[in-house]
Amino acid sequence: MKRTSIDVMNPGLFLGRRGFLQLSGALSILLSPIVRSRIAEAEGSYPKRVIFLLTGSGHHTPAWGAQGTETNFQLKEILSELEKYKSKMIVTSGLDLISCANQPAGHERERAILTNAPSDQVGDNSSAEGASIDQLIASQIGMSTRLKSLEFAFSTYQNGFAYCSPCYSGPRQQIGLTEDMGEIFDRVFKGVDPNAQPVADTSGPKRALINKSILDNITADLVGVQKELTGEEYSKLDAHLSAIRAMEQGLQAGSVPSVQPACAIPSRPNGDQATRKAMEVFKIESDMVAAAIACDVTRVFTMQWGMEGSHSGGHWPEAAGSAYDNDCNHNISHLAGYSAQDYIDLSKLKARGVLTLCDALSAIPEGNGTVLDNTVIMWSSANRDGGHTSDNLPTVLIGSCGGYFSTGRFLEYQGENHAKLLLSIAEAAGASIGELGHLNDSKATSVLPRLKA
Amino acid sequence: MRETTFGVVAALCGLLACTAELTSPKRGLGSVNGPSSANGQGTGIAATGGAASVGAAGGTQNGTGGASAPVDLKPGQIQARAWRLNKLNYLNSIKQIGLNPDPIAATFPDDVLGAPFIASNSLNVQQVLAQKYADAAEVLAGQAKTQGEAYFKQYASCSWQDAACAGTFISSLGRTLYRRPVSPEQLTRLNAIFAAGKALSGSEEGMRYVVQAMLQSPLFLYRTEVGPSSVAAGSGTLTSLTSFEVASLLSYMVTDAPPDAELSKAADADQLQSPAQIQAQFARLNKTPAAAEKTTAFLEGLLGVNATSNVVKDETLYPNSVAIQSTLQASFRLDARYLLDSTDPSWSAVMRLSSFAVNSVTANVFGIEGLSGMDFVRRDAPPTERKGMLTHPAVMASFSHAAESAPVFRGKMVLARLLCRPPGSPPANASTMLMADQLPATATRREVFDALIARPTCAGCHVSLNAIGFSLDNYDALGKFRTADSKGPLDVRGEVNSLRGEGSTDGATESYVGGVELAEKLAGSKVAKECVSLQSYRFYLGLPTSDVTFDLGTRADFVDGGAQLTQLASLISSSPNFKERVK
Repeated sequence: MKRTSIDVMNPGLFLGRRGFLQLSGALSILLSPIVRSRIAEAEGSYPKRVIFLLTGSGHHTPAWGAQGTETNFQLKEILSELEKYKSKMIVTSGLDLISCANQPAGHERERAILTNAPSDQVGDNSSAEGASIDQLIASQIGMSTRLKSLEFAFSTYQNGFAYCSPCYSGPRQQIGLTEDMGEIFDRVFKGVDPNAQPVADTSGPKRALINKSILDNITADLVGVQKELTGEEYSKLDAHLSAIRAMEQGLQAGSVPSVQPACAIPSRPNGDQATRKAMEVFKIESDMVAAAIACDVTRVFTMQWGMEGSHSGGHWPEAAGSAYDNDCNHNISHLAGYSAQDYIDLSKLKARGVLTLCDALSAIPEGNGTVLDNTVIMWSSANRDGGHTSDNLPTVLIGSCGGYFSTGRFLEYQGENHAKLLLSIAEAAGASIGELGHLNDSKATSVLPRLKA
Repeated sequence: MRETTFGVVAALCGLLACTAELTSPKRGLGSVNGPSSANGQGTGIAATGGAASVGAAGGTQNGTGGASAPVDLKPGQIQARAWRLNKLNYLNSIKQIGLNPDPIAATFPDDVLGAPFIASNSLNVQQVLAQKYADAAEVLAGQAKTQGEAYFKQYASCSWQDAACAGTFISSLGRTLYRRPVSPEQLTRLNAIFAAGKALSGSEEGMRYVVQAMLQSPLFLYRTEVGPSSVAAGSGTLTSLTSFEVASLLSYMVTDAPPDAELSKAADADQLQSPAQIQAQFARLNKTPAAAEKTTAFLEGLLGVNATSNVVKDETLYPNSVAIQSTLQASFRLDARYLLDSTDPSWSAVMRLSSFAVNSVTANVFGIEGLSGMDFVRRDAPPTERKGMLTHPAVMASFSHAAESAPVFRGKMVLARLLCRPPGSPPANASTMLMADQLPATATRREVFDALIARPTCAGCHVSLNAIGFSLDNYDALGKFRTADSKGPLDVRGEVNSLRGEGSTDGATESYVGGVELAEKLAGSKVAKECVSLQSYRFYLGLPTSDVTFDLGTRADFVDGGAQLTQLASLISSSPNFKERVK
């Protein structure tokens, strides 16, 4: 891995590679607030990061979670894979996906796990009726980094059906998760050339202004079209406006000096997941998350390793039945021709993936600790197990998010709204999200008690 | 090797009450409130033209504010909308302006595939795609720059050294790209971009920048159907589309490409308002090869063949399966074209097709002997084994697992796609665990699945899913006919109700045996024909699966007219709702 600082990174956003290295002088005039913000962070506390990691299809309940008391507990078989991070972990029980309790929903819950909103319809084409917590957090803490947020996946493509994404920028505004690891890399590190030198080109400021004008032109046309629309058609254009705003943000933040001396660029992976073992993908994606954090490209991540529901095109080479069953992640969860131990082993594989992510973050020193200490990973699944069960979701937190969470505990709740945990994570990250949810009877309006340090 | 005996048993453990789209009232569109619009002051060169940079606030989580008034729709009405060009639309539109999309085509993501068609209503532009558009615009504008003044001259006969000529170029190219005239305000902004580029590095640089800008404009990337701007959004007014909008709607609907010169000329003259004017243009477009391709795509989507390549087969059981599946898809397309070009391109004919395009790669799957070579030939399939496109191996392979057939998926496919009765999702907390352990090891797959019917929470849907799905179990994971699996002879008795075929009464349950008999039932089913009409609205008009409203008159015309698939687009384009939108 080459070490470099982000100031030679060329994000290439909207300009392509050609223009970006010529921009720093021009944009420094426009972007001084961000520069000031980033420098202030460098001098003081460290950025907070949040990672939502969803592994679809739940776990075999008897082997999940912990047993014991709040501070004296033992991790059960699946979580024992994460024993080395026990002191940085909060194991929960009794958190329910209340927004789905009265819905005849199973696999659609993937739409609810981060939104606390029900699906607009039953079936494969359904969408959530609200924005997801990751996007809401990103809209507040993700504005000073080059990317507002980063979303990617493994083994989530449903054959013939829509991507089942948990991420929504607004009601029914689904954000597709990228599986192509090369594309993810490009999005994070595109145009980065550790050996590049800024080009002495006096036309740079002028080109910067022209390119800014192109974005302005897109925005003006979008606003013009949008005013002719209403309802969800109007909202559809908001997604585009947000994307343009993110591109502007990328231009602005791309020339800001890095505050992270650990910024390093991994090699570009081959994008194809199909030829890889799951653990290989987990490692590559974990390393990219770590690198993106080290280079402060973004602070909000959503990862989906396997989805709820059937007919997923991705494969799990290490899992039972994978040689002949391309839907084994789903089928195993239902014990449909598989044993409970097959199910446990699949979950342990996922836990080892989480371990890889934790290791990657722990390898980056930050202050007196590591990046993991300033991060919180929420590992969960939208179904508790293969019984389409929406109560007692399998959720753990890893990392204290800069000391917000009091870790090393096993917290047993009794039917608390899972969305309260999402609000807690938002608060830990420094985002103020007053409420989350779509329906009055399941809306979360306060954080989850007992979590704070 | 472990058997995949019980694959996806619980996935579709269904609701007590399944849905039936054809008889359900439709809910109105536009009930979701959108976030408030962003605005602000741009800082670039063109900002003086009224450009507004995007505000930072974004929307609230529940999307309040902005022009978000809900619109109530009556059956058959369509909301004013902006639908993003899908990938094929986009690539064809690039070709129309004389640029080569090949270098960027492979980098574009496929559109989200709803069941059964591209979910046109949900296509939007998120960050990744916005960046793709930006990257593509840079590449394509570079092509224009390489062509230099020759490219400029395609749209403006004056000299690009002449300052006023840039406006001519922009207006001309914009008319094609935006599919409507460029407004004075838009022209001001684009002229500023051209001038700035020209000042920097000559006219070719000005042209490059302005092409780059126009290729990212939503006026290019979206097909708007909003009618005249004098009608206020949110007013609930039923308004007619402009001739420019009708031209785009017709052209993309029939050919997946932007309006050609003749259609654009008619739009310029505002001659796309009367039914006769629209039908004249439709009839012309409908004779093109692109129109036939589009109807073929309808059948592919309806029967799920466009998903085949994603179902990876177990190579130990099905050697060379990738090549076979690919060839089966080609066979399906040929068969669809064969039907559509025949004298009877009807739904019944689709369900009764007896001959198939076969070559040496797929002959074994079809159960046809004596073929060699890669060229397709038309051969009758054994009539007791295969009949109609439903039993086409490409279809059966799509609705299969890696090693085994997928009866529940097949049952769902027939119910949801061909009868418009989509099953619900599994009920909350449906227990599916250890079901296999409750049955003897000798239990057949059908016996295992049928055990679900004893459970009240599952019976509502699995009675139908199982009965239809297992009647198609004569076809293995690659679609080859069989009479037994590893557990013994297959039980392919089926039941389906309320088909309203000839001689059958509404509500009647009909029994049959195997896929051939099911195909015949569907061939005569009035319910299936009505469903095809509904699905065609989704396909051609990009209407959402959940909110689709459809014209009762068109449905009746289709069924009464012999359910000719080639008439679907014609019936839609002549529907009173075709050019009306609620704004």
